[in-house]
Amino acid sequence: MKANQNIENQDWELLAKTIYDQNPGTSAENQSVTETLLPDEKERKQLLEITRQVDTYFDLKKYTADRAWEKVESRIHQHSSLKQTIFRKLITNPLFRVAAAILFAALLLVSGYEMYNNYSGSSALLEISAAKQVINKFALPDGTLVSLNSDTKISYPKKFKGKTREVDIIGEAFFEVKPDKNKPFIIHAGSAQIKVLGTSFNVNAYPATKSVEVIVETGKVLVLNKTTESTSPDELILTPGDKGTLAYSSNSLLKSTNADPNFLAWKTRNLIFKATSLAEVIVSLEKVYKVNIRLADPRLNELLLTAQFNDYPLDFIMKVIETTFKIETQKVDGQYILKARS
Amino acid sequence: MDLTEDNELFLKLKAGDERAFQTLFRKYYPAMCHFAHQFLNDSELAEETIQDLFVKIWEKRENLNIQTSVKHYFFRSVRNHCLNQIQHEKIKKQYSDRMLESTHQEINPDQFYIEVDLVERIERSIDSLPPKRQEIFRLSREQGMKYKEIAETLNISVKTVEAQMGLALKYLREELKDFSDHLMTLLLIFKKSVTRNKG
Repeated sequence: MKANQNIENQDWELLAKTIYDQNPGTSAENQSVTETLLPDEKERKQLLEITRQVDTYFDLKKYTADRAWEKVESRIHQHSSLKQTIFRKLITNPLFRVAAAILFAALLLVSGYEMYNNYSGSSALLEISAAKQVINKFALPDGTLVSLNSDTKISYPKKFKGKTREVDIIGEAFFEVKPDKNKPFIIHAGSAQIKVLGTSFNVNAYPATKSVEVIVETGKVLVLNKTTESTSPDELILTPGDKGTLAYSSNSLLKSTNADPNFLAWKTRNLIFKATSLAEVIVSLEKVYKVNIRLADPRLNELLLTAQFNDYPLDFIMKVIETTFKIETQKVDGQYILKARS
Repeated sequence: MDLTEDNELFLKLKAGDERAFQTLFRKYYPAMCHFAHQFLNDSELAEETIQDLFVKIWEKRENLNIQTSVKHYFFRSVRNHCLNQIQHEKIKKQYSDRMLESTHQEINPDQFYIEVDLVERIERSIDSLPPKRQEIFRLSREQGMKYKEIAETLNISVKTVEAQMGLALKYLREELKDFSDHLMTLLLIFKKSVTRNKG
């Protein structure tokens, strides 16, 4: 093993050149050069193995598992959603095939449009869930438009029958309700019930936040506490700009003026900050970009930011914050850490 | 060797443990993409193919059975999946020779996969090269540039590139030789046991 301690730098140059800067078709020549410089076969193999591993290391760096995992994760969640698995089980079940055939025959016999209508309007619930991404604007059977924030689930009937239109949500959603005076639109969110005629508003009902928040953009909304113990109904009427909060801890409904201009940013990615403390800026960024941001020094909390970002990538916003306050951002394990420049 | 660790993760995956699935995904995704690239010659297509493969693995997890090692199973699946892909894409003709050749060959995953410890070691060694030398080495190995191109890009002489690359190689060999010794020994033991099993 000691032999090549004596290899001169010049020889390393030549070795590197034959390994790293070879022209096609000269490999035989290269091999003889390597053999002359490194006569010991074991050492030669070892060197080539090391260079191969280093090159493989660079090849592997081209593929990052992070983003790919997000894609695969959202796909496996989609695939395992209730609707699909039940449907698959049903259609592969021979009994269901027979049932479907009989039903089809019955339909032909009666040929009644009415019956078809009743069947498709059965109480079967459809479910849509947004796992890791935001789902923008899809239409419910009545034409109401819904946008879902990530980790949100909504269920609704295939057709709204009866005197109301009712849906259930877990998570956060923005509704643009199609006006229909004869059929109020009712949302069940945790222990709150939200009743509207035609309007647009945001509902935030993630179980983890232990409250339900409704912010109204247009129209009039009625929020009801379903679990109230008193006999008088616990309810609030909200108009544009109002925020209704049902806190689970106190089991009370409260009306306030919405102070957060960025309440819809999870959907629009439009962020406005007016002398907003960095601590609050971070809360908004975390919510919109689904990231973790930490301040290394509590004094940074008090810095005030005035800026407007209309659908910019997070990296750009972080750059602006860096240059504005002359601080540094570091990314460690997917978490951003902000700290004073040393 | 982490054979038992892989097998444990695989059993958990079969039972529907998503975290175990993610761990295996993160561990082998780059190497499997690199391997798929050999067949498909397109890194985007390679990534899509491997993502498809993992979704399939998850869906069929309950029925998966592994005879050899998880690593070998994954790499064999990549080859089969690429073969399907190629038939599907009707670019079969172009690559059929290479495919045919490889279906008869045994796959050696270690040509594509590097253990985490070694990845860290290589990373550290390259990062500890002096800045200029590191830049030159990266342009050569990461960007695949010829010496002449590097010299033009950095506005230095080819002679300087040669000298710096020589010093980089000398340093990397010194840093990585123990590890490589260790691996070669393992490889030798592995090969011996394989021949013994065959015989």
